[in-house]
Amino acid sequence: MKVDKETLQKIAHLARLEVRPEEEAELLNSLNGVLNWMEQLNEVDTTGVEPLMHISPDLNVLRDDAVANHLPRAQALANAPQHDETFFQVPKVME
Amino acid sequence: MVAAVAPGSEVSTEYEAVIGLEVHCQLLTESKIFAADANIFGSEPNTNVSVITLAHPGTLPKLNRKAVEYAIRMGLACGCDITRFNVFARKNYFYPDLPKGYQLSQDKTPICVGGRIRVKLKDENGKPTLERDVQIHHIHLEEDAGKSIHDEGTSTNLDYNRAGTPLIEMVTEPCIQSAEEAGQYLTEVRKLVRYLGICDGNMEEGSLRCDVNLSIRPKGATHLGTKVEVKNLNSIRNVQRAVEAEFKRQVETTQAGEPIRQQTRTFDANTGLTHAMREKETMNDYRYFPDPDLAPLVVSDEWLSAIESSMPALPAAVFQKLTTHYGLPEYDATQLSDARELVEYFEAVCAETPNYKAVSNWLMGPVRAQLTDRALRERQFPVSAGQLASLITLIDTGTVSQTAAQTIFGLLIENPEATPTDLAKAHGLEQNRNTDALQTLVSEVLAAWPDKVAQYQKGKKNLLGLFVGEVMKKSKGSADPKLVNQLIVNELSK
Repeated sequence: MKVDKETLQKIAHLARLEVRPEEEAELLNSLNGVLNWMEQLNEVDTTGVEPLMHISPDLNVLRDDAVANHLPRAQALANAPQHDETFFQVPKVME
Repeated sequence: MVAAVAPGSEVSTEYEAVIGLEVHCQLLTESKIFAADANIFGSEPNTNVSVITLAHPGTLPKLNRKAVEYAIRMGLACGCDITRFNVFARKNYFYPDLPKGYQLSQDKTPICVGGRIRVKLKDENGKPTLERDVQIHHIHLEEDAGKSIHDEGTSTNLDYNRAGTPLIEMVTEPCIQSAEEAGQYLTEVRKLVRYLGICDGNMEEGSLRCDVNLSIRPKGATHLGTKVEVKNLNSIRNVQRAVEAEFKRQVETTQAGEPIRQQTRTFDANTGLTHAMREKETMNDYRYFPDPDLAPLVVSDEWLSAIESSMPALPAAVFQKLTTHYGLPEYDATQLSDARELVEYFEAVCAETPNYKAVSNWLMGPVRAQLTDRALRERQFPVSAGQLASLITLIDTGTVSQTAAQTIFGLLIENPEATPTDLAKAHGLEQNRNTDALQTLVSEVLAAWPDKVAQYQKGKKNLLGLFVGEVMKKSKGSADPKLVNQLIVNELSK
């Protein structure tokens, strides 16, 4: 697989990153380097090997259904760049 | 309206609708799916939030055991296979109501796979005798997003109380063929989640939500057309209207020679039309990957059978019990098994009176009417099962008439502490069953109508009604008509 300019701009857009034209060549080089390196894995024969879906050593880390740990609203809002006494606020978004 | 229907039915002989539904159910847990904030509707904005919900750096989600059990209940009720090894996935997109920049969901390992829900459809005579199974593709667990409020000022306000509410998303196969079937499916889903006690099924408050995927194809074709998703459907009726409107739009677009665009559309309940919201992004754009913060979830045999044995009775089993154990007609059983609370109330009343059919009549009639009027859920109904049972006993023993019982029922709602017997006494609603007093009235009436008495004795037996009516009048309606009837017959046959 090879990343082209179009794919680069698409994934940059999905990540809400702005990529200037003069940065494209270096980013393409770097991303393709990573992919090429990973492609070495294709040389391994994985016949009969279960796909690894998760690397966690733990299973079933569950909590009981109980209410706790609320943040007071004023404290919850305090770190937001924009808020009033009730709501977090962002520039107007409409679908 | 007739003119609008005619071309529609012409059209539908050429094209058929292929419909899939995505239903989201908010689970009735106390706390959220990955954090301990309260899961309650209607709190003050941003009061049910925690550092996990707000996605503060360094915080870790932890899965709510009950949310898993509720999802499995639904899967078992629908005959799904339960996935034993689950991983949660990040669904990545940016929107201000999503604090982390991704939604925790399931992708490769939905907790329930396959399964079906049986729906009843009307035959050509309008009777619900046709049965179809709506096939379920899968059910997965995920978290709800917060709520954006757009209608004030220059900014969008955000309330994160809803963020992290546990959801199951049920996705059907594209196997639904009509608005009626879509509506019946939703009705059954709502009934099931309420029976299972996992969701309150309130579409207006958004605890049950439905998106429609619809495409059309020439009748009999096997390929699938371009799919359009319709959102913003807050009632079963509106889901059905949206299906009809979108089917018509796609047929008309196709007949005009234009392509169907892959879109997300919104339904406007005022106009009954759908409008384009956005062009659909492709699936891969969500860039799902396993969430490294949540350990995999394994459902053991022991856990699964514990959940299975804690399952409440399902609507089909309840229907069966109503028709066999209680001997109710199918119509009654259908009406009562509509809501678990109604059935529980029915069984509680039947524990105290053997007249099951009378209980059913009261529930389908006055009790239901009161529930609708007062928008009360059955469990909050002020008249207790014991009170209704003793009211029914009062009628069965002839102590009060049907009419008086209706009055007493109304009084009971206003005075939930009173007993039916006290109310009957206090309001003079008991039937006069004093045989001596009634005998006097009977004699008076028969003496006043000698010619009618003679006619009766010559065989004009339908005059009995006249005599009974006259005695009832004299008693000012308080006499027990059955007893009066009997006294008159006795008197005339002397």
